[in-house]
Amino acid sequence: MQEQLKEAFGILKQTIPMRDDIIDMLDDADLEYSLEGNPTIGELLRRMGDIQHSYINSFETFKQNFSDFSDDDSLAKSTDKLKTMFSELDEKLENALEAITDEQFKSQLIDRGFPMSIGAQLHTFREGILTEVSKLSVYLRTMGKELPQQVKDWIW
Amino acid sequence: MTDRLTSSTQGIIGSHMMIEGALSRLNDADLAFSPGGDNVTLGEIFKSFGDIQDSYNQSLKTFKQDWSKSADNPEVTTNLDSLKAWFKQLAGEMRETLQSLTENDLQKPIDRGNNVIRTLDEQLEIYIQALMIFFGKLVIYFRAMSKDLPPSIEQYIA
Repeated sequence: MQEQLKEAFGILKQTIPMRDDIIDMLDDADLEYSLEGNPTIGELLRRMGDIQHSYINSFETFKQNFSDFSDDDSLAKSTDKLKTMFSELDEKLENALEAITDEQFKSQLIDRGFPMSIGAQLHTFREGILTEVSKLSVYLRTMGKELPQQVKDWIW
Repeated sequence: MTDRLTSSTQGIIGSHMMIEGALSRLNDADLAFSPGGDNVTLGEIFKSFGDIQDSYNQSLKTFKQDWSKSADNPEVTTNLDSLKAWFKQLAGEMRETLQSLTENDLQKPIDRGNNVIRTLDEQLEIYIQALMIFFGKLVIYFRAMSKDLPPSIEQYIA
């Protein structure tokens, strides 16, 4: 992997466990839980998958499409399916980043409605994970569930 | 100002405008809202983030971050005018500091405590992450209150 991407991906890999720790503490019934005016916790997690999918595509095609989302409603109702989905997405993300050359990293921009460097795009993806985990933390507190330790440490 | 510094500064100033937009949609009673459980009130969320922003403001000036300080202004958790005035002051202070920085400053080390040292450039990135965490919470609270989000938050965060 390109050297700077490797470093950024290392930081990303420290962030992703918060998502997985949250899924690990939920069962299928928990995924149906929602706060008024907000999606269910399962829908929020499925959307995280959609967002990751769009970032993976952007690293492959250098164009980001925020509308190509999954229509598989069953993902939002099954922790096993969510775990499988994220495991596959994580592998695809690593493969997409592995394929980026040093030359592409330096000069290729990603069109996300406006141009963004590949490095900045990966940072933005990580910020997206933090935002979604922050949303999930509100749900968990409302459900009376104890936050995973890393979420307590990172998400105030 | 360098491209890198310009980009971070624009991102931060833009985010502060998003906070201003969120505050403009609230009233005093809204600050008492909590979605329940162990969640704090909306006013307390803003107060917590204001204290975080203040610690970043100071760290950019002193190159040392002090997490222990909390502004002695409990009224901001219940009084919107006080909260708006505080955030205006915090945003102005950070804007002024950012605009005084140069390219050389980006690599200066900042002591974040617990033996963690980050460059000023990294510190700005971490502050932006803190902003994203704050916005994530705001989105859930606003939706639970049936409040419209500012368009920028709806587009980039929600």
